[in-house]
Amino acid sequence: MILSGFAPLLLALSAFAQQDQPRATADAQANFAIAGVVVDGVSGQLLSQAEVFIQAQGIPDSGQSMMTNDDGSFAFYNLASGHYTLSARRRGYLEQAYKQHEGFSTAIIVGAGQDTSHLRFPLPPEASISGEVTDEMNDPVRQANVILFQRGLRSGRSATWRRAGASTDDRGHYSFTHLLPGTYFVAVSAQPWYAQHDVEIMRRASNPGEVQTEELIIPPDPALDVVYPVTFFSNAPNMADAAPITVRPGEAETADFALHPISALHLTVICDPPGGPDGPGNVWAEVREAVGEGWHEGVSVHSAQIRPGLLEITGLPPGGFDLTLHTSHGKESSVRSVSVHLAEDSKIDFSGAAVNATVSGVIRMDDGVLPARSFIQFRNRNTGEQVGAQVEENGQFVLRGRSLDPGNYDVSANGSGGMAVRSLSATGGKVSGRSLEVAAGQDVKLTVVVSKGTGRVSGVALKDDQPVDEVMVVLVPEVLENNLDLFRRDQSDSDGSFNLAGILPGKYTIIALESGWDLNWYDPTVLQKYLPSGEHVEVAPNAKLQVKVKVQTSFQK
Amino acid sequence: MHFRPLLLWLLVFSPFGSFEAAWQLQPAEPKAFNVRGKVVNSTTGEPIHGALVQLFAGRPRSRLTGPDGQFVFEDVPAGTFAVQVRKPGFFFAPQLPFSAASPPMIIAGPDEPPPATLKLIPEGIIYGHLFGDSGEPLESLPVQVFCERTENGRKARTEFRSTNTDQQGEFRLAELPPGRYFVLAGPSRVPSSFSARPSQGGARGYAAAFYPSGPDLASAAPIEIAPGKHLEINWTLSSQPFYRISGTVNADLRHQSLSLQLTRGGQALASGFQIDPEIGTFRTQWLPAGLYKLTGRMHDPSTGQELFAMQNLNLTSNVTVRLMMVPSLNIPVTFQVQTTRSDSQPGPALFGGSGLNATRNRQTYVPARVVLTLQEQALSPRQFYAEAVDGDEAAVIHNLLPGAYSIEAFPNGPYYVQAVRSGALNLLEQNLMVGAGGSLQPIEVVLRDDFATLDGSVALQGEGQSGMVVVIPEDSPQRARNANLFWQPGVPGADRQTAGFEISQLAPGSYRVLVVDDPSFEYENPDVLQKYLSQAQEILLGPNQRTKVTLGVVHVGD
Repeated sequence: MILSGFAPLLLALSAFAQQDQPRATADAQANFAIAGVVVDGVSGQLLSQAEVFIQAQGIPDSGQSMMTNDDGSFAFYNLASGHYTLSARRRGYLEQAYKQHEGFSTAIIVGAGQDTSHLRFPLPPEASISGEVTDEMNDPVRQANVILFQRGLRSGRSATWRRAGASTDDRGHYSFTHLLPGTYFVAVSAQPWYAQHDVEIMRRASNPGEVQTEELIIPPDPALDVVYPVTFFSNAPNMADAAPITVRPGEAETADFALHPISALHLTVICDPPGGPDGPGNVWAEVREAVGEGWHEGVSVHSAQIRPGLLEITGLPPGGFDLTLHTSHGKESSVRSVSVHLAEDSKIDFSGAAVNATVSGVIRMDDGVLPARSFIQFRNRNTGEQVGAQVEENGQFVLRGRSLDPGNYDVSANGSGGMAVRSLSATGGKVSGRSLEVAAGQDVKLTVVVSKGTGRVSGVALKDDQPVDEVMVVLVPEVLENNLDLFRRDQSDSDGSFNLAGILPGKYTIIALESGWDLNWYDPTVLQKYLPSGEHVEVAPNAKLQVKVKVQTSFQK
Repeated sequence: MHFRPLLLWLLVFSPFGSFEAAWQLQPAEPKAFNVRGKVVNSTTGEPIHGALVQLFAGRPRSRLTGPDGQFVFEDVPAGTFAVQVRKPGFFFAPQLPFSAASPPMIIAGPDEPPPATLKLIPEGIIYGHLFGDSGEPLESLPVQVFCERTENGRKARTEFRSTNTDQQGEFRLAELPPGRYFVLAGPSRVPSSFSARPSQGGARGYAAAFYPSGPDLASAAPIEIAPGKHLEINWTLSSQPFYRISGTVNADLRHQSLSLQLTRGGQALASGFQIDPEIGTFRTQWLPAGLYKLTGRMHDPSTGQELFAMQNLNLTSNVTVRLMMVPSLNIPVTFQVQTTRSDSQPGPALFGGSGLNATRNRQTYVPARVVLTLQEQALSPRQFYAEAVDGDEAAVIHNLLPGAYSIEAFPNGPYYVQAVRSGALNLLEQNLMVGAGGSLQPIEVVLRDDFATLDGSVALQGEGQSGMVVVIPEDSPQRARNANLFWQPGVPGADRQTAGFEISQLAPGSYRVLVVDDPSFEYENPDVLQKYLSQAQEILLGPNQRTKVTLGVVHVGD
């Protein structure tokens, strides 16, 4: 079952039926039960005083809850047959749906012949990371941005992602709570509250009586022209040198930071001054610091225009940056970006630099009307970072602001009712399957054809002819490479059943993997070896197929 | 009209990232000075280490104080300069919101200035824990702090800071200037438990409550925060049944987007509406029992019409409502400007006038800003503003809710408001009743240019004393106006024993004028005003006249 919300209880309370879900029926004999025990996911200890919640799928306001008894047991009786979402929460544990993995869980299928009275519901003990940020005077740093990165397997691939952000309070204190065990990094981005980065510009006529002026730039007081570099725990300048924090179940880790100011760098930027006879245009600079593994953090810098075409950017720490220069004049605007590594005061000449490539195009739906508020998304295959654009009513889209860095992107589209990319073609970029390769400085015009994807496959995951719950079911397209948008996933429910919807017509293989949740399935070579024992299907438009899939055990860890 | 002695500050603080100045070849200053001083805690008198002192001598110069709180600026030219101090956890009095304190000035020359003692006021902090029925910490509960201030003679409570409790149920609200506060916690966003089937009203949660208990400000205990006060509040809340509002609308939601708002006590709630356009239904999240006002708005693209519906609900169980959308309530506003002066200089755009400005600004100009305030029991009652009608000297107030309104009009030109009428109703004295479905008569605003000006001189009791002037019309004391005192800042040796004020665009007539030593004087409260009215000076202001008056400062308060 796919969970559509983050918090299971919230989800369970959601108002409206998910369409096309099997519904529990009121007229059915209501003499079934959901019962079992809630246990600590690590120690197996029975958990009393946990709140357990059930909700019949497709029936609003059918939720009910109870607290577990001293022996950790819970039981709901007099239930009609149907699909139920089961979730639980308890202080000190993560609120979870039953056997939750990523955005999936195992629904409880209640009915004749189903044993749903001996469930064992493990709740993972939650962990936390907290700490204090202090400055060189040993004063707390207030309103410091603290960023939590997590490293692990996500959507079938190893990745490091930005898990959460926090701000320190008046004591310099921050905390990240409700964490799953895993590997984390913590970084702090802050500025000395007293820093002064403004330069003073004085002008005078070059020669008495002349219109031509020259500028005298008075730098800020060096003692106050200081910055804190982005600091990873423990005292590292970037993710590569950072100490990973291994969080074990139920543990509270501490990561304190003592920030030390360093002299800020000054960057002189030369550019073609925007403007015309009707007046000058605007120039502004956006600076993002590279902190590792493709992640960037915005740096709040000060920039002053010394004269049209000459900018002084101050307040920069040493490091690697993406520097983007936005210029506008009337309705004309352009964006130019460079990546630089700064170790000292520097000068960058943007004049004559190529404007950033734009990615634009049109989306067409081949089996219906494109819903209002559709989006197109580009997922960087190296970093996993996603950039998206809203599609206008006429199907046109332009990636505004920052354009795509050179690289490979998985292209997907979404909108109400669901859709998938049927075909992709481009000028200026290289297309293979549903992926796009963007080269530096090259405008890309895309034509995207999407379909509603009306095919549906449901079935049962079987091992030795017995249904198995909690297995990962993957619908794999005939061509594995560059077709992420065609994959569909589900988790088998308590009777081994699963549902895969929104499928485009075509040939697929369905595989069911025990312990598949730890599998690096995004890698085609990993998935390849499970395909021969999978179930091969051909999905026609509007097809509704029923299949039986053999459960395989994933060996990769 | 607020006149604050801010002129000098405006001159020295550049709003831009860089400070620009003319670089002129000046004759070398004959003498430079050292400006030195000390930064101390206003409560304890202890020196403050690492405070940032900024001296605005031509350009801002900045220094951090040493461990003894001392600072020194060298090579300062002669002149009078403003000084500012900053340090996290402290306030500098002139920069407090609504502060009447004037910025300290350093006078360099002809002699070395004496060492300055600059005081920083330590912040107040309210912190503590919130616990539930069985003593468990309540997590993710919103906590808001409201501050009470008197602005323009009227007591106002405004939200000042907000936060959420953490996993331990702890909250911290720091950076509170000295003052009077109220603390509000809740409501819980997700029910804390479901003791039975939610469909049977079994959801329970924590309703919003003011400290120490009670759903509204009347039952709240004010919390006085003195400088540097750290107040701990540990507070146990009781859960109560939560309910839900569901409903339908008499319109097709697939083609028109419905926006819903739920208010309680005039405050908008983050109600988490779920709208299903396909089925045509909506639903709120779980809410505590109470009186609610549900407002729906939508735009009909086929007719271009704005629609609305409003329903009052007393929520004591799960309820289902049907919202009947009707055309929105809009009231036209017309203006009549009576000019009598031959030298009359109308506003930035002349209605029916001539000249470049007239045509350029005509589309957005109205002779007065008109504000309707809904008379409701609310922390900050809702206000509706008249918007100019394109290319016309008229305005319209859109999307009013049924109810009673008070009206204020602020001239955009050299006029005073002589009358505001709706038919025979005098809106300067009476409320405007707006009802659903009824005909909405236009509001007529009459402005005249033969205004009076009051030009005052005030003898202060101490150098740099702050104060406020209140001008009270004899026939309608509720329409009093105020102004702050000013003097000529930045001029070395300026007389700071005498301050001035000017209030213009007054309707001719009889007034009482009062200068008080408290800028937060609550003159709109008749009981407060009455106590000091006998000390006010009576004055008759004639049309087109500038009247000079000399006054003393009256001490108000305890």
